[in-house]
Amino acid sequence: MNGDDVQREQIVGVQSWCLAVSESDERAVREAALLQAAQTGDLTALDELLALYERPLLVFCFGILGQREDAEDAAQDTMIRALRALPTLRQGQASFRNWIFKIARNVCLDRKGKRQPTEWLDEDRLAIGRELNSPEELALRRLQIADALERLPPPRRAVFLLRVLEGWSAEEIATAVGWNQKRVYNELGKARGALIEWRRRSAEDEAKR
Amino acid sequence: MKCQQVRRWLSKYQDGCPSGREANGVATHLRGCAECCRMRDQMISLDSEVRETLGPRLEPLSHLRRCVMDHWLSERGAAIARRRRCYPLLWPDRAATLFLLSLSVVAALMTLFHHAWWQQNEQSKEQIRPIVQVVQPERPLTARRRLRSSIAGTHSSKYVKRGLARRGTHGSDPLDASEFHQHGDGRPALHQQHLTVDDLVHWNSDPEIATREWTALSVDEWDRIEAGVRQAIRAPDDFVQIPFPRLAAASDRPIAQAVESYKREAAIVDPRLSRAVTCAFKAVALSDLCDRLRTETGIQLVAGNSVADEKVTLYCKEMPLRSVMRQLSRPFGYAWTRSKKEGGEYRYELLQDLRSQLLEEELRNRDRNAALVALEREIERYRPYLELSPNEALARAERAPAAEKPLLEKYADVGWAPIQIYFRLSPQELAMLRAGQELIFSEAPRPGERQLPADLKRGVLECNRHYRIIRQADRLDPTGDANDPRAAPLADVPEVKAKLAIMISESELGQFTLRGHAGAFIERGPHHRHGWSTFEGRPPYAVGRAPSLALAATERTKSPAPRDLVLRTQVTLRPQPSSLAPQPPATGEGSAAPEPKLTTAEVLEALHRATGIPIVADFYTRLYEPKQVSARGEPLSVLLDRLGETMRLRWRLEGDSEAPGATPSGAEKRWLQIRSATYYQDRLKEVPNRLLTRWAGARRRHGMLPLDDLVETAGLSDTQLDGEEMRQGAVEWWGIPEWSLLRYDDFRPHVRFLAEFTPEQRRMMMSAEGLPFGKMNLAQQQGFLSYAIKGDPLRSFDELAGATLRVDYTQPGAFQWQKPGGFTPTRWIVRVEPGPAGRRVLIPPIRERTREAALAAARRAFPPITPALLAAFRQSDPTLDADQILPQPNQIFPTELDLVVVYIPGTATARGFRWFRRGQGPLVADQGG
Repeated sequence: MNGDDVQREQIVGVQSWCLAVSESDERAVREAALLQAAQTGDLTALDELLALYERPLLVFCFGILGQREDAEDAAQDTMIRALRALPTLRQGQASFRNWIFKIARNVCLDRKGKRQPTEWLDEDRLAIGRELNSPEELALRRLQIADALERLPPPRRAVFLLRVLEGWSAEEIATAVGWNQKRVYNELGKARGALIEWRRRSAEDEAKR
Repeated sequence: MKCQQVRRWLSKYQDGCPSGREANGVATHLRGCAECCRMRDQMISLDSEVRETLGPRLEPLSHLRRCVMDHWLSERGAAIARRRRCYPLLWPDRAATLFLLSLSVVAALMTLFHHAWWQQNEQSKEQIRPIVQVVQPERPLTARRRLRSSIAGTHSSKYVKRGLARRGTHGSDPLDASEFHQHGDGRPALHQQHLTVDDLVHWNSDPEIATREWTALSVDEWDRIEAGVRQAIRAPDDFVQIPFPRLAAASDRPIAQAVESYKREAAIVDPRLSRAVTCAFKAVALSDLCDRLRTETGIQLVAGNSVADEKVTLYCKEMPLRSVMRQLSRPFGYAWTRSKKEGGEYRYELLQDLRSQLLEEELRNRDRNAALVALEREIERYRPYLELSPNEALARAERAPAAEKPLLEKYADVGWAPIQIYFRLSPQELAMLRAGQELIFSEAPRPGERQLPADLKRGVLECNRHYRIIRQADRLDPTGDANDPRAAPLADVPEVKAKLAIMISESELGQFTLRGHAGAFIERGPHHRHGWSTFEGRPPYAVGRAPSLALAATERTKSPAPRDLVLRTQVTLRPQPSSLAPQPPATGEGSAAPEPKLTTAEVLEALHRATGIPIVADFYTRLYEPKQVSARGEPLSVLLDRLGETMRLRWRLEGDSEAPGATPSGAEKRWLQIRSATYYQDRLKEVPNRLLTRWAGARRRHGMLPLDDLVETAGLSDTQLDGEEMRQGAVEWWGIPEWSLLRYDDFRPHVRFLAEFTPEQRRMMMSAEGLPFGKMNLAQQQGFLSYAIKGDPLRSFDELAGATLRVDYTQPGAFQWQKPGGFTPTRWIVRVEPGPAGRRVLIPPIRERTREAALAAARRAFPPITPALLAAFRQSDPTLDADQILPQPNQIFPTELDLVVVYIPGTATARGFRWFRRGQGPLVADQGG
């Protein structure tokens, strides 16, 4: 390794940190403004605020519940509960992200206790013709990934999906789920480790066959 | 650092956690340790695999937020109404209300006064500010940063970040990296905006940056940006394709405006599309379907040219139009585009873009290659027998086991010749063969033919077992009588020469066939005045089919026990044939008419009635026996799999629906999407409804398909006319039996040639005189000559005296005169003078409703030519009398569906006339001599 490479690694590291801070600040300011406007009854602001968290909530609920239909219902319940309780949220008391994810967690745990998922694999929203894989190959791949994810504990799965699908940083995830960053990193490491192990075993099984 | 330690850090390192010394340590270790590097790569690929697999499945429903808002607003409305009912109790005193109002007015007046004073104060400050300011240099933004800032206006930066990160560009993107290197000091450029720089730096810039600012982004780069924006800005009506702006402008503002315009366009939700519609469309063209939906809803829906003739089956009850439109586009790879005139309403057009079309082309090529490989495999089965001669192969076939016998029998017959030559072809010849070219090998090759290898001659002649040669004193006479003691096998006569032909044709899309002929000929010379030849062949000798043409296993068969309750529903299916389908006639007296066959559309209609599930499916003409597609109390998933395998379909039960109030597992809101497993082949074979309807209508009106319409039918592509299922559908379902006349591809050029004539000329062709050569235009005459005198150049225009083109188009249900002994050309032409310079006359078509009328008409037609005929025939048989050459009752036959094109090059018999018929031709007859 030469000196330039080290310098380059450091620069890239600094860059991503700068962008994260910048975007994070920008987002926080924007979110606070939206929250304030929403609390005064501005429906557009309210809609924008929900739009920010619509998909992350769905991903989080999917991570906990493991099934899309249930996750949609849970995300919907979460948003309705949040809207009902919005006037009681005081600025500065808690971040909106932390607050809404706490609601989502409660909703998911309620639902998880009440019912079993009805279907895991649903074939939808697959971009048609995106690749020339056969439907069997695609379905098999989805099944395998779903199977591997299903083996993870729900909170770990949720954290992993927020990181991978939503690109959230550990700090953002920690705020949302109410953990410290160290725990988030550990959970991510364990999730990846388990998935790599699963992949290794699958490859071995495949080779045996 | 040790591997164990690094692996503990690896996940955190990927998430950007360790910094400084630890990060450097990990990076250094990774450069030196292949195992840890592989693990890191595995982590990265795992993340992207999860992202690609689950990402598209976790897009929120377009209406999720809207539903939440509506729900909450209705709750709030109810709460406010309750509060209003309590209002008099809360504000009993009217005087208190008036006091509060007056207090607000006073506060407003005070605010206005303070604002005016503040403005005046600010203006005075402005006047004493220095005129010269230090201008901060503006750092040029890259295109991506522009878009990012533009998008962040209304959307979360998180979405942008996710969009960029998903493409794997975040943090390691060369564009972003350039932002840090452009000033050469390694500091983040974001911080440099606050530095004061001198004029030279302000005026001069790095030429690389300047170049980049004016150079258009590469297609790939722009596509990635487009994908990022599309990802970040999700359209509520996501089935509508919104074109992404492409700009020539290189400054920030237009690009930002373009993205804004895209955002505005993407945010449009047309409330009219919420209207519920009920659809029951069976095998209907998309253009007709859009017309009907337009009539029903008043919304401008159009099917573009690329999809207008595609047929679909659509059944649903009270579904939002938005959902129906989505089902018409997404499963088939089509897209709706939206446009609007000034002041008008939105217009929607359904299209298939070029990319989707090329993807289908790619699938067809894949099948084509697979079929060629399968054909090669089939031909290879002959390899063990290459050492056998035809006679040896025949002897071995007689004692071969059942599995081997059919192959050996084909090989021992005429198949020996093409198979033998196939294994001797050069790579270039094989390439020509696979490109569809026919290769001819001859002992005496003509131009374009190849020399037949000498060692193959005997085998080729042995193949032709139906003919033998009788050697006379001065000539050789071919005979079909194998028992004649004078007759010798062709291989034993040195003057007989061998010839063979081989070709590979794509008999249907995705199916290749090896065909071949083997023959013998005697050249014109002292032994035979006109020469003689025979060609025999019983193709095909090998067929290669693409695997997709085999019965398709469906996606769901991989999931043996569906947990979905809808798929467990027990279904009884009794599809009924469409009333449009003509009833097939009984085959004979007393026998019942065969049961009408069913199309996929009728099966799906029955399925919808039985289950209530909305269904959308493509439609391609295929017919099935009712018993093949009926069911009694079968679970839906099992039934769908069985139907899929029988009808070569694939199915998918979609969970998404926009029907309000429906439960997620409810059958009534979930679309059953069905598509042909070979849709990319079927699309090219299918004939548009608008043509079939017109031809079927013309046939019903006239009792037959008029020649003009038949000629128009021949104008369809070979792929359409070659399709076996399409032909069966046209004949049995649409009731156009004439379709089968166009089955043979070597006959089609002659029917297509008729399309060059006017309807009036075609009527003349069907008359007794035919269409004289002189009444053709120059192009028609050239076409006529190319068919009429092929291979024998014209020596004088006088030879064309009396040249005529005649068409004999017959339908069942009448009687006609015909000489016994099969299909003979004397139906049209009779020679009245013998010898090379003899003369022939045309016989008018003799066709009547009854046998007696046909006989009478034939006898009326003959007297004028009887003396000449008698004179001619008596030269060979002096005992003939006039009664014997007159048409006899046993020469009257029922007519059959037939079309014959007869090219008569003149009344002189020096040149034979040529006639072409389905599956036959060219046949040359009546050559003088």
